[in-house]
Amino acid sequence: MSMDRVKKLLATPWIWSFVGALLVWLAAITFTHGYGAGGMLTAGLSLAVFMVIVGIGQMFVITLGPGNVDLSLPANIGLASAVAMKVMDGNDAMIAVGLAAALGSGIAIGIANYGLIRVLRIPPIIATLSSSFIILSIDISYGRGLQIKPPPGFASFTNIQIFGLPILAILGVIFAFVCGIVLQRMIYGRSVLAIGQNMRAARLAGIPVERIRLITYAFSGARGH
Amino acid sequence: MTPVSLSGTAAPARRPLHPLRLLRTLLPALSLILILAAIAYLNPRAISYFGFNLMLNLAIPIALATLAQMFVITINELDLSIGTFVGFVGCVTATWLHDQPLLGIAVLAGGVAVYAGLGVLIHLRNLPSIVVTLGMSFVWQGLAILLLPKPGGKAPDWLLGMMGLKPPFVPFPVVAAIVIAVVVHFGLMRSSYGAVLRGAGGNGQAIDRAGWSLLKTKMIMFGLAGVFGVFSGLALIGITTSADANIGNGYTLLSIAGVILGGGEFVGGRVSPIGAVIGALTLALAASPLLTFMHIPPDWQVGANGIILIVVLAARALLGRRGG
Amino acid sequence: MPAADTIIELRDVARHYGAVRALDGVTFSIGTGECVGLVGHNGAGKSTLMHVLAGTGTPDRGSITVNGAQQGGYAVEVAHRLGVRCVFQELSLCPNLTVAENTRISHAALKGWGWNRRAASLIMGKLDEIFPGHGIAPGDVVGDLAIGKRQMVEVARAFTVTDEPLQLVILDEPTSSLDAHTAAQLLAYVRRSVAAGVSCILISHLLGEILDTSDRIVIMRDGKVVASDAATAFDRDRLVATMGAAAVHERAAAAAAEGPRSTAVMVSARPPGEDSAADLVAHEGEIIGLAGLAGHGQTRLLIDIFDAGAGRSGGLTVAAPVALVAGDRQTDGIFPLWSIAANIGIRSLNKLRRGLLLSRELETGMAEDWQQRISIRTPDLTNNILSLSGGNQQKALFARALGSDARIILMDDPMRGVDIGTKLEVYDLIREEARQGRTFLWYTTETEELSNCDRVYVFRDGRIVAALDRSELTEEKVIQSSFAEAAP
Repeated sequence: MSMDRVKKLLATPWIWSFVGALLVWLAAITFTHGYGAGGMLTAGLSLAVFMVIVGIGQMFVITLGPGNVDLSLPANIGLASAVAMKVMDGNDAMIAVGLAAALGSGIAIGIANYGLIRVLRIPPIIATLSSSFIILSIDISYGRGLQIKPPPGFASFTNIQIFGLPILAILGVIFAFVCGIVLQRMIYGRSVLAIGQNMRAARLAGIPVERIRLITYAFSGARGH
Repeated sequence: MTPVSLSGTAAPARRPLHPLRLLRTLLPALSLILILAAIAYLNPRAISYFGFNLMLNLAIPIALATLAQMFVITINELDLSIGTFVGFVGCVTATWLHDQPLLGIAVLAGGVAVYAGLGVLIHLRNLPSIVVTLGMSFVWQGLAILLLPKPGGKAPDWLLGMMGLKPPFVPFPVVAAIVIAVVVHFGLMRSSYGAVLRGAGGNGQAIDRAGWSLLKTKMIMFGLAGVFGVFSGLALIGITTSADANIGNGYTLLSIAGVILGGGEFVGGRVSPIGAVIGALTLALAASPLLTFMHIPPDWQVGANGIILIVVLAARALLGRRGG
Repeated sequence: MPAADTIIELRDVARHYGAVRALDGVTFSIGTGECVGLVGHNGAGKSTLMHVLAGTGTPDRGSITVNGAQQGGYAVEVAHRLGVRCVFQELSLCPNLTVAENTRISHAALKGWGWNRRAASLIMGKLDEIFPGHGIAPGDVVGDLAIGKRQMVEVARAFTVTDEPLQLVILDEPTSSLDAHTAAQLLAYVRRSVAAGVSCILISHLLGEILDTSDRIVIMRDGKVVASDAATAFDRDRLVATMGAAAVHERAAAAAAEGPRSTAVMVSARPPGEDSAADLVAHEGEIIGLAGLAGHGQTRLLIDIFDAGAGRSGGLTVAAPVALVAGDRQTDGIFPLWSIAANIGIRSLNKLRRGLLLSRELETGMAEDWQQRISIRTPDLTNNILSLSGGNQQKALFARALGSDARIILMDDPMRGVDIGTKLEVYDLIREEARQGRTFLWYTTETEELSNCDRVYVFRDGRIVAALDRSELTEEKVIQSSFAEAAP
């Protein structure tokens, strides 16, 4: 019985990433003779959270089927953070508004991407690539000379640690968990999975394919925030 | 099945877009001419031997990398590692090729062999090329950094000499671009085996049924990508004279954009070597010189590239067929 | 009748696809300089036989003898070397290459300096020989050519010869995309070619062609050869009769309803294009059949009706939610990564929702419910869908449609390749559901299935050519209408 479960675990596609991460960590602390092992984990978790969030956005897009990808995410992130910081303007009271603004810009970018893909029939790789160039420029000119520090409340929030684990990491895990549920257990997520497997079958099964794709690209854009 | 009417030599009903189709094929060249015209208008002095030399210098390595990408796209694959590979080649060129030529040559040849090997792997195990080449890009990057942690090195003299050629009347970059485009055009579009290679992208099953080896075609196309990647790295170092591990990173996306701009499509085996070179030249010109002359703030130069891509592809979509 | 030496002989060849017996012990031979016409209704086994002859399909049983020598591992390369060429219905041209380049693909000998010119003259010569006045240039890109011209190129290419001999050419519906004039040119060439010693197997639904061009006619039905005789011994009527005479089978003892019911009209559709003899009208609770040869507009109309959803669109009126049961499971129906339960539930996601989330219980409940009703044979509904046999996969697709809220069910030849046991179970279910008020539009390529229908519309060339009520429904009538030659 236990052998069977182990076999099933080993067959999952993601197990090897965790194994790899573990091996890398072990290799690293071997080199440092155990020094700073804990700190490495904490730092790694904090930084990894960003990749996780963005990665999940990308995952939804890629799940739409072969050819779908969002290359504008890096630029998107840059712009979103600039927008957020500028709106917050170092003021604790504006934190929520700033976050909302960043979210809004991300969604707008996602919708624009989809417009290029659907209306102008540009393949997703090129469409998102081009828009990433444009976003980069917007970001640079908008953020020119930006020396604004994040509001003190925001900054201290991100530094909280619960049981030694950075709060961002915990939020990241929660976020991933929620997204997992969305994907597997909500109609929207099911639709995405269906479209990715067989777009024609999804259409013939009554799924509003184009609408779901639009939402997904917008969602991915929102991840930038 | 509604019968198709073929009375004598009447014009076939399926080609009403003939003038539009012609326009579509010429789109890359038209874009280039448009940009050149804009440059001429903004800064007439740029249209000179010296001006072209300066503006188009960096276009050669980009064109070579674009051709490398084109080979891979021809067989419905994608190479996300060409940029870091060019960087790796650059580092090898500026170090080993200069100090220990034989070792340098061996390593570069090894790089090409690895590329060909990737083709074999992708075919035999039916792996998505995007994932494989993405992984390889990190490998090349890492090797490049190991070789040259800090920018430096020195290009071999023969390379400097070649890239510094000053032929009479026509600037070197233009000559080089023409030669490269013509050679690859004849190789891929005019040779008998080139037809098989392209056919593999158009209808692999048909090629297979006719008795050709699909494994061989994948291996050859990836190998060619490696060869042109090497050329691109060499050319780049010949111009910049020293190397840097990150020097080629932007080439991956630029090469994809160049192929598409030049009329290529992601699936179907429809590519154009001449178009790809023109696309690369267009991107190179639009990247810096044009925008500088237009006094577009440097912040916006990157964005302008994006806009150009979108405009050209939108034009292509409007002129009839999907962009891939 | 020339038939001197036998080129290929198949003895007692059989081939199964799961539970379906595509070839059920076929003995077939063809000699030099002979043209054999192969006819049969859909699913008779003609294509499978062709694949075996061309080396692209291995038989499970039986022997293949070529030029007197029995073949162990008969495959495409062997077939090529022995001079057997095949033109299938799915064209094997590379759309991104020119006509000349495509010719080169077939002939490895065309290489070296000037290969393009040689390939061009080779294919042009053959095109001129077969289709004078064709209007095709060697530099034309195949993807830009109309389907008729592509067909011409493909056929001509099959007849070109470089270094390998040509003994037998198999043509599967070669005239399907050609107009009358070009088709006539091709058939005339086939006669000339046969007289010159190259044999030909001609598969066609156009009985006139078969009768005019063949030396010998072979008729297949249900994977067997049921008749083989000189062409002169046949005429249209005898062909149709031999093809269509059905084996005895169970007919539904249904309450005969004369004419359309008086219930509400659920669907009203006019096929696009030229005028049809009738519009398709379906009342609530009726089972409407769409018949005729495969690919004559039936699926097209079904998809149009599906798109029209619950609204109006052009000449289409659809009065209730619609669901579709796909016939081509791979491309139109199955989600290969999912479980059986998930595949069944995908059309009814709204129903399976509890609050914000989909309820696994409800989903499994629905699947189990349908497993009972439609007898899906599986130990575990959470297994991957591909673990099911073809017939059971089809049942799952039925469950998906029937389990949804759709009142109109479209069926796109869903019983293709399904075993008889499954079929009978599903027929019962369809009749039961119709009695409860659901409307069915059923496109099928098997004439026996039409006996379940209240009314049948026969399609030809994208239009409806006949509307047969149950009372006047006979297989002869359906086949006659299917084969009705289009008026010039």
